[in-house]
Amino acid sequence: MPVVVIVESIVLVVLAIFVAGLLASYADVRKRLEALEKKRSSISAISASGGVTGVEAAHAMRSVPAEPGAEPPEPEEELGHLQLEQPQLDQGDTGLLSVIPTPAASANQVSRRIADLAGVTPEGDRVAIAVAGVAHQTLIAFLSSGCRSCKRFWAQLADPDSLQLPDHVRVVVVTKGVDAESPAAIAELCEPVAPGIAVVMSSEAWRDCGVPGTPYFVSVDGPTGWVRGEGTALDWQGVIDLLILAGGDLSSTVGRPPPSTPFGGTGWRPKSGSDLARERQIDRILLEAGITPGHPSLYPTRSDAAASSPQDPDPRRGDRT
Amino acid sequence: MSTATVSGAGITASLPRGWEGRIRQLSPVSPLLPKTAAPSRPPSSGELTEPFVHLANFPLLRNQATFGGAALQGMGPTNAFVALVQYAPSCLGTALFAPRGLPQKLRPTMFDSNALQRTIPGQAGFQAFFTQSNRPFCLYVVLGSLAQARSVVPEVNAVLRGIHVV
Repeated sequence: MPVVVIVESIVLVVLAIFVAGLLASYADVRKRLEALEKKRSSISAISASGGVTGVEAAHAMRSVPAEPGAEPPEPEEELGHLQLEQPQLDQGDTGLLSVIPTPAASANQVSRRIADLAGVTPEGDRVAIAVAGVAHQTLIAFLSSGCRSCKRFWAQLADPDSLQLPDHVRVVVVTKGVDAESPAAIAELCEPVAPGIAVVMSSEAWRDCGVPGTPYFVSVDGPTGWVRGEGTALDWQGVIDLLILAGGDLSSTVGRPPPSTPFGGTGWRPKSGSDLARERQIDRILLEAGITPGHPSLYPTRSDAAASSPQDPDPRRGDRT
Repeated sequence: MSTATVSGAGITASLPRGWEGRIRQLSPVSPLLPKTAAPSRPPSSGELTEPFVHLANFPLLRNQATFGGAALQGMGPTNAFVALVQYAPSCLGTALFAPRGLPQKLRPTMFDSNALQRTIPGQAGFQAFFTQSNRPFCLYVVLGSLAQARSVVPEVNAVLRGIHVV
């Protein structure tokens, strides 16, 4: 009899541990689902409203933790009305810190347009750079001479092939104006930069774009001048991810090194409008489902495939091992 | 519709939508740069030290030559490039610069593939020397395609009307 009691006690303890484990696992799953739902709600809110306005986006971005050494964000000035929650997108191993996707706006959507950039070059030339009313997209890179994390971007801009951008994306670097930056320091930094990449010193552009700190990137749709997306990144791959999230599908061009072009692009031809529209829609659906670049579900392993399809229904495919 | 203005060296250019511009200041050495960054030699006698303006409806390169140079090779058929180059004061009063005022009413027939400083198949150029505000200038315009001159030249004229020299 005592033996039975002891065995029953042991079984009870094991069962209790098992139940506790199940409960903990359930709590963890609930927590993850809630986080996913919260993220999805944020993205849906942004997509439904045609994107947050520029200043809202800038304010949202200000919650991004800055890298040590990065310039401190400018003080909160204009609007303080932002209530939208910053979507903290998990970016896996990419260098993308965060991004505010502002989908290409249609006529009834509320977003913002970027004015043409005006300023001076480090050499003292007066320049005006067209970012609206042009056929290409513009990727504005807000960099500085002092920010440690900007250095890798300055170095990368010297090699246009490594940018892996399609032909229709033009890169423009904007630093603060001569009131806040050293022209000599910028001249030194941009000396090796590819000639197709414009460098403008303009504090006004920083203010207009609500740049919270460096490095910061803004993608502008050329024909309309609408901001497609903006954010900060740790490395160039993060910038590519930003562009993909912003609606410009670069996935088919990333990783291919064709010859450089005067824009700093790679010579890759842009896709047709219908292809881009379809891919933007797919990107949006994936984002709304919480599937961001680098998400594991985008890269199924062989064991996943085997688990979901134990028997190949099409013998013509042959041996996949 | 003007969207941007670029101004410097006594020249102001109001740019239509989609156009961009650059005004090189008086000296080849930037007044913004410290003296240590200046070249160690003075400009040679033939070296241009007067300002010039580049306007284009395509992205300009950072180190574009005074008259566009090799950068114009990438121009598309509807692209246009305008260079307004000032010459030395010693040119004032010479026969070459006798015409007064910036030409603002160009016609497609004024463009010729032989008027290009650097011949590129399909492109066409126009060049005129004149004096404006007691400053001697050369206007040099390049069209990406002579075949598109009828549609592009009015756009160029709109740009020229937006240029003011004091």
